[in-house]
Amino acid sequence: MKNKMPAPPRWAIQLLESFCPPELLEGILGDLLEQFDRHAQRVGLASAQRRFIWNVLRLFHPSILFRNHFSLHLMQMAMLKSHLLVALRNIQKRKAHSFINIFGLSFAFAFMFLVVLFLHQELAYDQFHSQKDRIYRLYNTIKKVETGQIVNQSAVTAIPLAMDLQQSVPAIQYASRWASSSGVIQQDQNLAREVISFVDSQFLKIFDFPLVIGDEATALYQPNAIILSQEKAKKFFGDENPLHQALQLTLNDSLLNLVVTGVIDNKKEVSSMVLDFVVPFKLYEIIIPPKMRTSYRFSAVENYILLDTNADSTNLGEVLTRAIQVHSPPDVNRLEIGVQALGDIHLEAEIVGNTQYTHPQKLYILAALALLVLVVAFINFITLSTSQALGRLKEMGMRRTLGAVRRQITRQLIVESFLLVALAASLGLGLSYVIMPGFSTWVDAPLAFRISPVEAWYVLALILAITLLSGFLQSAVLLKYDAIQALKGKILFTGQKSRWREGLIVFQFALSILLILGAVHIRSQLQFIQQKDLGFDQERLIEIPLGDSPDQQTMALKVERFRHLAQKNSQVVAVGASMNNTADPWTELTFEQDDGQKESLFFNQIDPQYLSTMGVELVEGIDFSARSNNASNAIIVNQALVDHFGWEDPFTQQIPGKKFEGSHQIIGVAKDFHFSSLHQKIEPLILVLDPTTIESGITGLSTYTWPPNLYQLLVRIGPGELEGALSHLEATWQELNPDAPFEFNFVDEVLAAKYAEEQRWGSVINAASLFGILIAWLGLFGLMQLSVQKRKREIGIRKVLGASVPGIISLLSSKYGKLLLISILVACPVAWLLLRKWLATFSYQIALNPFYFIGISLLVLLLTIIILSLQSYRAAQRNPIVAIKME
Amino acid sequence: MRKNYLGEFEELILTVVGILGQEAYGNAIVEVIEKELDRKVNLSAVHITLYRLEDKGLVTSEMAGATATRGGRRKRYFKITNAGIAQIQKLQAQRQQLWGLLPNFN
Repeated sequence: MKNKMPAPPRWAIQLLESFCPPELLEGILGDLLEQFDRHAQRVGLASAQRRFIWNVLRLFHPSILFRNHFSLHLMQMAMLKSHLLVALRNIQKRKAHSFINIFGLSFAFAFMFLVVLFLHQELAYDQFHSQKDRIYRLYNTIKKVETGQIVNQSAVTAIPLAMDLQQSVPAIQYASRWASSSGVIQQDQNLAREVISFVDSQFLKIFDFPLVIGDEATALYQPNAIILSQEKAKKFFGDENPLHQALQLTLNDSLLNLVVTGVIDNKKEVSSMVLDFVVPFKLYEIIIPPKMRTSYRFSAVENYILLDTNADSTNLGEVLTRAIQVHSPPDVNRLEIGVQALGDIHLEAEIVGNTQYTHPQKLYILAALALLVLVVAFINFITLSTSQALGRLKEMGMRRTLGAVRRQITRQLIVESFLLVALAASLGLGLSYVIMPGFSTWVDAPLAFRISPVEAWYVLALILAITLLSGFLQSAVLLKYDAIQALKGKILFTGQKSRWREGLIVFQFALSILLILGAVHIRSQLQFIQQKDLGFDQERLIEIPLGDSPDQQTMALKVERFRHLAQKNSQVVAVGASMNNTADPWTELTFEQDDGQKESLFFNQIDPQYLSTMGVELVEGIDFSARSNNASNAIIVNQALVDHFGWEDPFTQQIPGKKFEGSHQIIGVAKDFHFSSLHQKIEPLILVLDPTTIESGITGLSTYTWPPNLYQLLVRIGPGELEGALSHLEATWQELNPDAPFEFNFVDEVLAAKYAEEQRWGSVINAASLFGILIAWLGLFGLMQLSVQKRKREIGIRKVLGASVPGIISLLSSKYGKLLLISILVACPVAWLLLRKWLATFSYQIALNPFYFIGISLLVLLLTIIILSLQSYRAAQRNPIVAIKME
Repeated sequence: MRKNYLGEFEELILTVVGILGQEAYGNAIVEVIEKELDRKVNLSAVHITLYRLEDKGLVTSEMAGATATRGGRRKRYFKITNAGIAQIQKLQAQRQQLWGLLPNFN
């Protein structure tokens, strides 16, 4: 026998006692205890306790909470009216405090609300597909057989993958590839470069993109079919019905006559996959060389599969990996296939494909920022309202002597805070509506202002939580004191301390300082990146995509003619051409070594004028342009490549690789220049005029751009007005390519866009930090005002006895000054650690500067002291006699 | 109008209160439903419903009969009122009437 009676948790009983009306309590609690005993015997103590707690929580129900007799109801209605009246009077009486409270909270509410909207939208991505639980995207992991080390992991996979798997794995019901490439769409006079999606015929059976016009079953079966999004249908056909209309698509210089077979609802706002133009996958073969179509060495598309309804998805990756061994047997490396559930890919940032994704970190940071601001505003609300409540001791004393019980006073205080919080919340909602467009661009997501039940619940829960907490805290502070003493005004607060309130203030300021430090460092890191020498001159450099072309000669000729015509304008200083552009990652080639290891080197095909146009200098050797006969086996490498292989004399060396036939000649070493983002180091790079020079050695590649050719023109514009040079370039373009649109980018703008993400986040954090510190100061201002009010007489007496004005100022401000110092001591180390972690994601980073930390701390301290002094100065200046006489 | 409407659960509880006669309190009701209908119901839900029925005037209650297992607390016994009996009778009649209109079962 146990010598102790099994009992339900004490807190649960206390909870029940606290909210259950006394006239019901006895019957209910008795029944619950009786049932608890029976449960304890039958199903064990733990389970009985769980059920007991659940029962208590279930009783948190309006018909229990508000159950009272009719007469009492009337009474409470009357009391409620009185509470509201008193609350309104209080708000009016303390305008400044009410303003600070409401203002701070409403901003925090607005921010929080927007963040909830954003999070909601991000989590809704791809969830609309009815079969999403059975749809998977395949990704490959390439591992070294010997060490098990992962060489590469990507959701961009081989072209035959899904189709081969569908043949051999019965659990796969449907499979489809999704590839995208740019092409020129033409309809009558309308001409534009657009992104084309290539999919298999089963695509529409897997995904829920409904056809607004057209037949889903047959839309993709014709070889010359094209499906448009609603937006694009409007763009090219206006209000006409596009069905069965003709549309021309130019891919790699082949002109295709297509027929519109449908208009698709592409659910752009919630789909990671953006479908503007959809064509059968067969057409993709125009773009890719034949050997890529069946090879597992090249990755170019995303592969999706749909499992059977009753298929088992555990170990799916292993099953697929085993099935793929037939097609891609392991050599030095082994290919493993993994799966990503469709619902997860939008927030997957590690193994990514070509679909849009959001870094989950972004969501965490935003949620954390919103929470921080809310906490700061909330602390304000609590500290202000509790210390303000102390000023109402007399009122409370009076109420209690007249017969108010604890619960009534608490209720009154709750009603008052509810009024404030509700006011703040509604203001906040309005505010969020106003600032939403700005917020939308910051987070780079189109937001729609809507209040769905979920958002409404969040807001309501937040209002209730803040209301209850501040109401209870206020009553706890007030009811500590004896009613009669309070009424007589015999309670003095001068020496009293409130540890928790001080703790809150420290916490609040620490958060604000943390945010400011973060904002400042993020800003200076971004500036550092933008001002860093890239190794080439990015100013007044224009990039023009040349379009696709099947062969080298045609392109080279195009470049030559363009250069010839463009340079007739004296402002055009130089024209060069390149295979890779500034925006996308450059082509990365792998060269298999004798020992089976693989070397990864970046690659670009350029023309002789490229380096001089870009303004890239040579460390040693000569440029392509300096050679008269341009032997086709000449290559230029960058300094990073020479360092990578540790070459003493690069001119006698060959790029190592076992498949190389013939030889190439390194004629120059280019100074390192940044061809990808500054997040990454400068990697080894090979520059060639003629790609056949090194073609034999290539054993694999990962790329956006392939086969090699000169796809980009680069134009350096000299000093003077840009307008004239640009219109000359456009005229030149029109003359050479009457059928293609003239498009161009400024290289510095393209580069800036790479850091736009950080820029935007910088401004979000800036705003949050500014706002955090503002609220914190407002709060401090309010607190100071209160404490000065309370100590009016004390100050008067001190002055009469000879205290100086500075003495009184320091007396009043020193307490808060000390608190602020503690906040600084807390915030700095935390900020240091967090920032060091963030900076580590950059290859080129600023050093954390202690002077920033000290400077910002001093600045905050100084401004705070000014705020404090202003308040106390006013108090110290007052005529002491008036203060002392005041009764 | 509102008073004339009874939810399924309310009707169940009201009926069971009628069945138990003098012995209807929270736990007894839960047990009867469990035994007769093999249906698990939550004690708190039963209580909430009982008070709602009381508000509608279909049951009355009084406190009585403390026992040791309840820590000496009295039980709240419920009794069906005439209005309550009339209500379940009416519901039953309505249901019979509808059943008669159902084509294929009789």
